[in-house]
Amino acid sequence: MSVPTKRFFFALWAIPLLVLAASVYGFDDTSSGPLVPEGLTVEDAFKPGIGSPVGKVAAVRGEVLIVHEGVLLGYRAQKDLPLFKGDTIIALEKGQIRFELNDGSALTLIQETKLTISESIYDPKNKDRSSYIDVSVGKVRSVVTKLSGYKRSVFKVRTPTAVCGVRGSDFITVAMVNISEITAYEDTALGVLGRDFLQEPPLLITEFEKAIVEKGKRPRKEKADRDKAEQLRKEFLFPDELVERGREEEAGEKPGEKFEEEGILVPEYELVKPDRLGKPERGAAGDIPDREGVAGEEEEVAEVVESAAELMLDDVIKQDTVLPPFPGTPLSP
Amino acid sequence: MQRALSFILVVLLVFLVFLPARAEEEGGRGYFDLGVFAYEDGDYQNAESYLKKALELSPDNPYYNHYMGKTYLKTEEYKAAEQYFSRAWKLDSEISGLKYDRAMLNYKTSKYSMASDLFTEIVNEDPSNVLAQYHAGVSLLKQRKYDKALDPLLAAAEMSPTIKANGFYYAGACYWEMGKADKAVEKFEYVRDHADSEMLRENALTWLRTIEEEKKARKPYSLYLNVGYGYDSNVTLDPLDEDVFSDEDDYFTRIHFSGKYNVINRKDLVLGAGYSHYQSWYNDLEEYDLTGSLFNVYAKYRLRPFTLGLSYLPSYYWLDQDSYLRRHKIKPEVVWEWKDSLSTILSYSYSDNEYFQDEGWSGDRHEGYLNVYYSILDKMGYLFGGIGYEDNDASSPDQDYGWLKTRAGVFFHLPWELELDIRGRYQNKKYDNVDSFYGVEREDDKYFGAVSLARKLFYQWLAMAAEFNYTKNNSNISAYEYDKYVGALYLRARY
Repeated sequence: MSVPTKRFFFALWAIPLLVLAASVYGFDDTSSGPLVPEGLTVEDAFKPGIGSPVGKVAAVRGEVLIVHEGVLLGYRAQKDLPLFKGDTIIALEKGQIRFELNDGSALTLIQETKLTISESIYDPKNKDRSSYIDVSVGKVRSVVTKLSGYKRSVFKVRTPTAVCGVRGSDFITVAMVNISEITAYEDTALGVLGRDFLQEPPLLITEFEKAIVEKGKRPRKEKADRDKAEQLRKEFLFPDELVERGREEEAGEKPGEKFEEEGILVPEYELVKPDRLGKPERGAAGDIPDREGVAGEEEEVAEVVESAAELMLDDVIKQDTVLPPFPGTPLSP
Repeated sequence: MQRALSFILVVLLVFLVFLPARAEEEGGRGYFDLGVFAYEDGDYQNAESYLKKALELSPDNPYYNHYMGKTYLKTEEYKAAEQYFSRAWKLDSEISGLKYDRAMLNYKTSKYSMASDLFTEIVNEDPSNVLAQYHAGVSLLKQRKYDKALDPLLAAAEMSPTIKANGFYYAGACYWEMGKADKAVEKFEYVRDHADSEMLRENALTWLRTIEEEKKARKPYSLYLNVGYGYDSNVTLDPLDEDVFSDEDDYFTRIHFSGKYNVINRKDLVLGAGYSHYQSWYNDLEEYDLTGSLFNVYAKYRLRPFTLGLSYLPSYYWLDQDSYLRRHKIKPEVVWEWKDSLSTILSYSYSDNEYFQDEGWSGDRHEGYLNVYYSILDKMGYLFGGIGYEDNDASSPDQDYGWLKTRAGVFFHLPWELELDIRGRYQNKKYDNVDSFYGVEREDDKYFGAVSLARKLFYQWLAMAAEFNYTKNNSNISAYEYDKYVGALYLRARY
């Protein structure tokens, strides 16, 4: 192959790569709708979400919002705030947050990222861990705790174009509407599926490999450029002192402990409406039997009174009209 | 050689790392994962579609079956949900949340006994499961196991601020059903004052009003006094077409006192005793002055919608201070509350009567009676009707008869605290034998009508009443034909 032909082929490969790189780092044009839901009100006083906490905020920098499921109310994220199933976490411009799930897995979001904890079960008693994380847009680093001997240990991340599953690992997900890029780091094994190719076996990637999943296309694997990958990982680091202080403070503290005294919230729809349990039942000694009881007694007495009058009538008629005895038999001589 | 060994080791490591992941991804895992995400997004249509595909590939995966069941539970396709939950349960009964979902399905399909068993198991395993606590309580309440329902309801209310008012509401209902009215009031008052839901607040208020009324009705004692003065047009039962007596009409004073006390006064069981005293004095016809002492020992057992009752009613009457009648009466009855507004009372009574002034009247009576009560206008009044039959077996054949009794009436609460009572009776008495005096089988038809208008006087427990009643007795023996009317004013106290 001649040199110009080689150049031509190089250029042919370079164009989509450039387009890809541009799209990876150019969130604004490709984001799936507004980062912050329309009409969202932001409150400073945090209120817990529904159910028991599934994790808690480990560190925050800049502006990050926590939105509980089903409400248009956001709370400014602060260290130690509990997180609940269904919570959406939005890291705004220059915002950064690290939170930990109850199983110890740590997720870090950097600016302009939106993530929802769709499901998070951590049941050490039944050896069951199942987390479903939805990354609508942005960049998330997941350091997933390896759990050995677990009957089920599932950690899934969904992006607009991919679903990836992992057992224990360190990986970064970069999600946009039409393309997702998942980079695996040390000791990591990931299975990545394109959302349009669910019937196919997952694309397996291991350390310093990355999966690129474009909308409507099969996932493809690439070797990650170590320097770039490390550079990307650095984006997720907090200033050391912030993280260290946070870790020291949280020693011995359970997620959401501060809010435990407020109790566990449950969704309104789970509660039985009073009209479905009937009205208060009145006792047998209600108004009617009482009134009729007295009436019945008076009726009985009236009957006795009438019987007495009748008896006396009988006395008068029957006894008074008894004919006088026949005159005695003629006296015997 | 060393390089080859290292290569094999690396390959082995990668294989070991990938093996579980790969196994996990097989058999429709991708569909399942998207099914779970769709379910959690509340997109049950897509969840069903993804999970169907996952199950086509791995029909025996317990997790797939579980989530499919969860999806059908949400879409209220309970039969399908049951099918998938059962399958998941058979494959792995220890899946997190499966027991709760099965319990919820049983609850939704009104299988409250199974629901409460499962919820209780979950609570025993994890007392912090606040929703399991709550639903265990509600399921037990639905089974009328009020004492058992109370603990989980209160625990859930204490654990969750969102459950608190709702949990207290049902705990209040339990307390009430258990006969602990004060504790019920305490809970309902909390709900009335603190519930976020307007519906809950209104319902609590309804309960509080009802409890207040019921407390009055269900207090352990009750007292009744009726004092009146009136006119009786025919005290002596003067025959219609004969003028046997000249002083057949008279004015009277009448007192009726009644008091009873419930020794056991639970919502489901009442045991008590009462005494009633009746006294009438005529201005002139003193020989008709009647004194009655009526005792009552009773028991009522409530087994909704039925209330079973048994009364023993001994009574003694004096006529002008001479002993007139001694009666022992036993009366079992069944009250059937068909619905909130309709109830029936079926009773049987046996009486042993001893008439002191004419032994021929003494004997036994058997009576069966059916009464129906129907509340109208949001309990502002009620209609009633009844039919019964009495068989009298006396010492004298002249007093053996069969007596058909019917009654009907209406009672209304009117404006200005007026109460109107209109009632009527028709009775047909057929004597069994030819009267030894008149030589015919006597048959009487008696008509009775009464109107009473009462009004509260100063206090809730005090009322004044005016009553007018008319009686007409038709008989095939003219001596027993009579009519009479009575008009009287009464002062009534009911406490």
